[in-house]
Amino acid sequence: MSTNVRVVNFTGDVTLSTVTGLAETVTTALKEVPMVLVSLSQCTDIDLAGVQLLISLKRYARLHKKAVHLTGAVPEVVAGRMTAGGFTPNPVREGRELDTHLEDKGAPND
Amino acid sequence: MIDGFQEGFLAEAQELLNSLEESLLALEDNPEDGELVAAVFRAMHTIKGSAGMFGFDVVAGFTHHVESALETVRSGKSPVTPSLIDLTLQCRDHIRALLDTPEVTSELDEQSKKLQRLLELEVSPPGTRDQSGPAKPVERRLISEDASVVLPADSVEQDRFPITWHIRFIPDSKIMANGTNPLLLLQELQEMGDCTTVAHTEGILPVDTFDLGSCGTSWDLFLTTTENENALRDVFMFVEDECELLIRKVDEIDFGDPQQYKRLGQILVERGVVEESVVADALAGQTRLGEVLRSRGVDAREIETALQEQEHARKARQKIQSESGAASIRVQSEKLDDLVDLVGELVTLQARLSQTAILQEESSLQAIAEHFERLIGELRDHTMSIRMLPISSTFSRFKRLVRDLARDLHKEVDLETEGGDTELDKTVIERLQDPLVHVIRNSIDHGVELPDQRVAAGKRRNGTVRLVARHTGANVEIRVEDDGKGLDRERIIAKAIKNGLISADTQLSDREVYDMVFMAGFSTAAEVTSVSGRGVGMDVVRREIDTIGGSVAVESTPGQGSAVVMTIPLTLAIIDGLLVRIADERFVIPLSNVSECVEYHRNGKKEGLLENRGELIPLMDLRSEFSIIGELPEIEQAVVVETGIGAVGFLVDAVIGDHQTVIKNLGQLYHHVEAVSGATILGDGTVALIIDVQRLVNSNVRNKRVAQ
Repeated sequence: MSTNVRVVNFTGDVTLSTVTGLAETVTTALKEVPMVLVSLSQCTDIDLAGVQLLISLKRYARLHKKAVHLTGAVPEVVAGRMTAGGFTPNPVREGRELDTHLEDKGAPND
Repeated sequence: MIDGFQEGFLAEAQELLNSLEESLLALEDNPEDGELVAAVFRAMHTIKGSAGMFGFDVVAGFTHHVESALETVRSGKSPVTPSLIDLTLQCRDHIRALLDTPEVTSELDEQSKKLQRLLELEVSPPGTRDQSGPAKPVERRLISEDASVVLPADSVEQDRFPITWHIRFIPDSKIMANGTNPLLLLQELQEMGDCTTVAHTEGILPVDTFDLGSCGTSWDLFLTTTENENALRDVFMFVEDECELLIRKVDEIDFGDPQQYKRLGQILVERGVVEESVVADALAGQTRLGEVLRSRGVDAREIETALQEQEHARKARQKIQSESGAASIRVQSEKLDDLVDLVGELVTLQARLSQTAILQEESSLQAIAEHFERLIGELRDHTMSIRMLPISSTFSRFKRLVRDLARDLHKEVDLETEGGDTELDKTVIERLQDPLVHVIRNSIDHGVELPDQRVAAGKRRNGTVRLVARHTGANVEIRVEDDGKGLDRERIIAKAIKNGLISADTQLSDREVYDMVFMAGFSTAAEVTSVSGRGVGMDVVRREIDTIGGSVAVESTPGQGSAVVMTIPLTLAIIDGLLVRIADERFVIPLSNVSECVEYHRNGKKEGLLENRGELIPLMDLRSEFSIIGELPEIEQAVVVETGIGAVGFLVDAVIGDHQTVIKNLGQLYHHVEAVSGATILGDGTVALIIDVQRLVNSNVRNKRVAQ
C-alpha cells in the first residue's frame, strides 16, 4: 500500500453538520501524507458548506505544498448540486473532472 | 357543456396520457432511469393542474393521489416495481375513462377509490401497509391552490417575450446559520428558465483559517425567463435581510429582432464599471478589449461576468429564435377537413375554368386557366401536407397492446418499429388503427410461439413483432412481421376443402393459399382465442383496407415467421383517376388500380375473357353492371385493373384520360352500393361515379360472374 497517498471516503451527507469532522479527517491525513484523495462516491447529499469544504481543503493543501484531489464516481445528487451552485457548467459524474472544475474556481491570490 | 378551452384541455390530456403510457412502458424496462420517473411525474402533474383549472375536479382529485404516490418514487422513498407500473397504467386508463365520461358513475367512483387504496398500499413503507385506510377525498381548495403552480411552463405568460435578467446574489457570511442552503435558492431560479450561474469563491479560505459554517461564495446569474422581477425577488423572500441582491434586466428578446447582443464594452459601461471613454480608448488598440481593460485595473470578475452575460444572452436569443421559427399551432382537425373540402371545390372549379377556356378558344383566358391550375396544384399539395401525420403516432400506441397481450398469453414479445416518420393522411391513419390492431393480435396470438417452444425450435426466447412503414410510389406499405411459426399451408388447404371453398384436387400457389385467410368465414372458433375475440376475422381486415383503397397480402415462411403487407394510398381526399365513358355516363377508376388499357373487339365473341399477351383475363362489362342502355361502339376499351384475385378487365366505351379526382361522399343512402366508393364533379358540372374496384370485383366473385 502506498504511504504517499491516502484515500478518504466521504460517506453520508456532506453538509453543515458534518463538515467540521470531515475537515479534521483530511487535515490529519495531510499531516502524514503529501496527497489525499477524497472520494464522494458514497456521499448521499451535499450543501453549500460541503462544496466550500472541498474548495477550502484544496486551498489548505496547496498552501502547505500538498494536494487534495477528488476521485471516484460522483453521485447524481452531488453532480446536480454542483451545477446548481455554478461550480460546474454541467453535471459532472467523474471525480477527476469535478476536481479540475473546483481547482479552477477563482482561487484567491495564492 | 364543454367549452372551447375544455375541449383544448381534453385534446392535450389525451396526448399527455399517450406520452405517459410511453414513459411508463420505457420505465418498466429501465426502472432506474431517473429522467423517466421525472417524465411520468411531470405528465401526471400537468394533467392534474390543467384538470383542476378547467373544472375537471374529479380527474384532478384522482390524479392528485397518483401524483402523490409517484412523488414517493421520485424522491427515492419507493422503488419502481412491475406492480407499480401496472397500477399506474391502470390509473392512466382510469383517467382516460374519467375524461371520456362527463358524469361520474358510481362504478367509476368505486374504481377511483380502489385504485387509490392500491396505490397507497404500493408506495407505503412495508411496516405501515396494513394501517393504510381508505383514501381521503381531495378538497377542491387544495387543487385550485395547487393549480396555480402546476401550469406547464409554456402556458404561463405566453404572450410575454422572455427577458434575460442579471441577478447578483451576495449572501452574508452568516446566512447558513439559520439553516438556509443557498444552493436550493439557486436551483429554484434555474427552474424558472435558462440560467447561467457563475460562482465566485474568492471568499473561501484555507480550511485552518476558514469558518466552515460561514458563506464565502457569491453568485452572478443570468436567467432568461418570462417571469417578472417580483417572481425573482420572491425566491429570496426569506433571506432578503441576509444578502445583497441586485436584479436588473439586461436583455428583452424580441422575436422580430435578429440583432446581436451588446458588446463587452457596452455591458461594462451600462454596469458603471468603466467610463465610455476608457472603452473607446482601449478599442483603439489591436489587443482584445478584455485584456486591455484588465491591464488597466478593471475588476477581472466584472469582465468575466460580462463575458458570461454576453455568452448567455447570445445562446438564449439563438434558442428562442430557433424555437419561434419551429413554432406550431394547434388547430382542430375539423377545420383542416373543411379546408381540404374547399380546396376540393377549387380543384373542381379550376377544371371547369380550363374546359371553358378551351371551348371558347380564347388564348388570354387559357393562359389564366393554366396559371390558375398551377397555383391550385400547389395549394392542394400544401393543404394535403398539413393533414399528413407521421405513422409513429399510431405505432407508439401498439407498445401497450403488445405488452398486455404478450403477458395475457404468457409469451415474451418485443415490438420493433421502423419508418415511423412515414407520413399518411390523418383520415387514413385513423382508419388503419383497427386493422392493425387485429393483425398484431393475430401475430402474437397465432404466430409467435410460447417461450419454451421457441427455445426448443432454436430461436430466441423473446419473439419479435416488427411494424415497418415505407413509401412505395403514391402508396405506403405497412408490414406487420413476426418471427413465429409462419402459416401452415397444409392446414389452410385442409380447412378450405372442409369449408367447401376449394376441391381436393385444386392446385394453388403459396400466395393463393395464404390469400384464403382473408376469406369471410375462414376463421374458426378454434383459432380465434379470447384475446383475438373481437369477433372478426382477417376478412374484416381486408374489407377495411379495401374501403380505403388499399390492398393486403400475406407472406410466410414455415418456421421462420409471416408478414401481413398492407399497401395504403397516401390520401383519401383527392386521388388520381382514369376518366372513362359508357354511353353518356362517365366513371372514374382509381389510377392506382389501373395497369393498362387495351382495345377490345367483340366480333360476336361471348364476353367473359380477354386474351392479353398470352394471358387470359376475366372481363366485366360495366355497361351491364350499371344497367346502361345504348348502342355498343364497334371497338370497346378494356381497362385492366389489379385486384386481390389478380388482373380483371373492365369493359367501357371509351377512355377519356386521367383526371384529378376530388372524392365526394355519396352519403348513407348509397352506403349499400358496393360498386362505387364515391362521386366527383367534373369540369362541366356533371357528376361521375368513382368505381370501387375491389368491392365491385368481390361482389362479382360472390355471384360467380368473374371466373377466378
